[in-house]
Amino acid sequence: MDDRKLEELLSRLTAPEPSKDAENQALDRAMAAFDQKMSQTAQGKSATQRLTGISNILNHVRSKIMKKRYIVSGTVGAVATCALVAVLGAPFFHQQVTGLLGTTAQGDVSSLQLQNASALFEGSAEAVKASSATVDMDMREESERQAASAPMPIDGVTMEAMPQVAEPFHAGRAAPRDRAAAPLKEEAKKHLEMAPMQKSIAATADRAMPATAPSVQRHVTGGAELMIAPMPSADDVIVHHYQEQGRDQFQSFEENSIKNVKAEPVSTFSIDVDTSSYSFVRRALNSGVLPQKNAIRIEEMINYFDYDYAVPEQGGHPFQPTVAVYDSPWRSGNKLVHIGIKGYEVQQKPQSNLVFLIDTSGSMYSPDKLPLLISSFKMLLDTLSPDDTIGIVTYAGSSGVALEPTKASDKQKILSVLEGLRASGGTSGGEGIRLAYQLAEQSFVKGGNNRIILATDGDFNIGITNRDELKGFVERKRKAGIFLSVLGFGQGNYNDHMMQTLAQNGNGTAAYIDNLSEARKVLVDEGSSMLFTIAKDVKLQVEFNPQTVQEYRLVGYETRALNREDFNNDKVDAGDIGAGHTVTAIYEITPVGVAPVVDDLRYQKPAAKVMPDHPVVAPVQSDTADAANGDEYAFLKIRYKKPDSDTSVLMTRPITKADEKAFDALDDDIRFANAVAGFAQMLKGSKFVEADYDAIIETANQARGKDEFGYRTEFVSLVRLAKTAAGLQQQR
Amino acid sequence: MQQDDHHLVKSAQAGDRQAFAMLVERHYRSMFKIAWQWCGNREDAEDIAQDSAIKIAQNIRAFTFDAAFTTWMYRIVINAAKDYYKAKNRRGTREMPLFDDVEYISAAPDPEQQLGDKDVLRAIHALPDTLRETVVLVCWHGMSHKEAGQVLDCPEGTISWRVSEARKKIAATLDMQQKGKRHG
Repeated sequence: MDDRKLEELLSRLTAPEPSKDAENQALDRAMAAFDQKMSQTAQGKSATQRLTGISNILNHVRSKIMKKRYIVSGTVGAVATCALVAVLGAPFFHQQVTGLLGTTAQGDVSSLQLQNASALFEGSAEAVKASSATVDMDMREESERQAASAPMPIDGVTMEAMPQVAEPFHAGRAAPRDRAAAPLKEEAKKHLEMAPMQKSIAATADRAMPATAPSVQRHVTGGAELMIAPMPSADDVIVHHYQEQGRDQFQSFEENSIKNVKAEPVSTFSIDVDTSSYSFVRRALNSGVLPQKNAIRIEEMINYFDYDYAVPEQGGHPFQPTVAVYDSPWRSGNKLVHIGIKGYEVQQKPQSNLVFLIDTSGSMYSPDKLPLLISSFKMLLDTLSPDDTIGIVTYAGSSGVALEPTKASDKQKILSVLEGLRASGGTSGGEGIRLAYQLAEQSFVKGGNNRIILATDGDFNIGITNRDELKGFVERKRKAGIFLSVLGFGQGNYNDHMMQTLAQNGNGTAAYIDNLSEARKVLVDEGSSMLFTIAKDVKLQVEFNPQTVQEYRLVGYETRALNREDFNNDKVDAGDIGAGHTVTAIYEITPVGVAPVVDDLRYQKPAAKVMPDHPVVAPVQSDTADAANGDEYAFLKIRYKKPDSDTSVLMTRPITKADEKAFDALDDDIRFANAVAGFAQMLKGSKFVEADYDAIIETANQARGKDEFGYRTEFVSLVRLAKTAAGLQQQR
Repeated sequence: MQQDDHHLVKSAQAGDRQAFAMLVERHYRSMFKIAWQWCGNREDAEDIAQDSAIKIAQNIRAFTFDAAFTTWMYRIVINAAKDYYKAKNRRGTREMPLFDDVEYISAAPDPEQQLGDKDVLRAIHALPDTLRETVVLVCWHGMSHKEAGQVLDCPEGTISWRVSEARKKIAATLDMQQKGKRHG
């Protein structure tokens, strides 16, 4: 065959197009393999830390299961919909399943083990035969052999049996295309009567998916191998909202419980001026789903709004507490104690030395990430004084200084660097942070505002990946007078936990930017509170008076709880407050004379008990008030440090019956904060608040006030969204 | 903003799902094409392409940028194809039709010509693995001898030798067929 003839001939012959199904499936499978691989080599975080809550368990089991393939023996046709129904519920069961599958992963699955598994499925809930599935062990050839022989059934359990504990993860392209299907096509034809049902389920799932978002689809169908096809009932056709999900990381925490004043009279916590939780919730609701519960930090939702609390004269304390006591709308007889503080506004801004630390890794490649970030920083740039300096450090596969500290007056230069940023490469956040601190030290302004502004989706996976290690580093640098603020971007892969850790330890704030108007709010309208810290390590301690109060419950601040003894310990870090920042804390109290929620103890003397893990501390000042103070509900103490000081200052104020007001007589701000607190608790699924969205809407509408920027109006529309979304699936 | 393979691979190695999805999406067709040229039927080629995509997911962290990503990828496809048939032969499944679904770039030639083309394809398919993969990569996919050497992990000279060997064998096969037809 001569040289050119062969090439000529071949060049005329081309491959056919692969089928779209095959391509989609290959992508799904590859994504699943990718996820599995990445979760095995979780970057510096254990598997349990990567995800929290139920999704964690789901993913864990899913990845275990994915080591084996499940194929349906009866319907291995063109629509070989896999109908394995996983029931994932109690941790007990989770362990059993993973334990089992863990062993099988190493060797062959014996029929005995399968029967065990089957028994487990049956034992854990009411078993309904969804479809019989064959577990395939050793890839394709095994599956063929098995499919040809008698199928080994695993009885699936319908989802209706355990609606709370498991969510079906449907896959749009519900047709695992195992090659077992090909030689068995003829056989499959016999089962055609099964196919329409399967097809309709697959079609439903497909319809439920946003056709306009193929990449989202792909992510969701990462787990395509394990699909759930419960027996179709009318309810099956509803609502499976698809979204990129499962990789947002939130710290999980329990809602604060009711404390008995006699047993635990003192409540201590650090302030939290972050607002990221609210933005994240807004984003979830705007996309039609309820946010995952761990994403909701009640205090951050309340503190998102600006309240017009009284501001002290300059020169004295940086803030003063505003206190109100009013009847609780959440439980009749109870009262709410509202404590608000607002930092003074800075008149003369100190010189700023800012270093933008910008994540330009591949994961930032999305319109709501890097491009939004660049626009946000441009807005911030406009608010700076000409003498302020800006440096830019980028981090991706490698970190680098994109812009040496440059005066804000040289705006063109800064803009051209910002606009030239491109997303690519891995994320070396740790290295980037080191570099940013170096730069900030280099152009340190004594007495000025030295700050690193980190903008990222929080996906640090090269460099210092360990949260604690990074935390230690940021903590050390904080002592050198450089603050760290964190701006979060993007969704689906957002590492909230890491962002919180960094901001809290770097004496900074964390904000989540989901759109340009949020960027304006954080960086421009409230830019000075983000940028100028007026008091640091602000701690609150409230001691309740057992003569007047039986029980109390702090609304929110779960992640900011401090030990009683931490209050007077200046070494213990706490939240900072910026110029104009407002912080609100709400306690729900059960006054004496009202039926308590928690019963009294039979064998304890009614004297105040000191909890064993709260050693007695020497009383400070006059908080050992004489017992005659029967009209005091509680005693409020606030400690803070001036930004450049290491010694704390104490403020105190009794909370008395004189602070009581009727609900309607309260300031708009206080009533509005109450509405937000109620809403946040509902979203969190609080056991202390009835879900009454309409009441929230009414209160919020009446308490809207001036609402210059429309944030409160937006809140009302979010409550409406939540009301409709309440019947829908929780974001995982 | 079109990102190049290098960046996508880097991101994917760092755990970026989106980057990985883009990467696989971008190259799926090429993987399928090579697989089809190797095995001669679409269904098997789809399976091989899928196996390859999974292998890429599993091994992406091991990719060291010594060669182009596509070079590495083609090697994975060729290996996946061989593995696939090893497994298939063990199972003793029936033969799939060869190159039935071939498409012509320009207007399809007359039926006789088509048959002739199929003969050539069958002759390629009948080559020993090492020659067959070389012909697929070099003569059909248009790869340089050097790149094919990287994919198949052998010196450039070996590729050149294999190409000429393959041509001889293909010619001999076609010759035999011609003779057979004449005498048959």
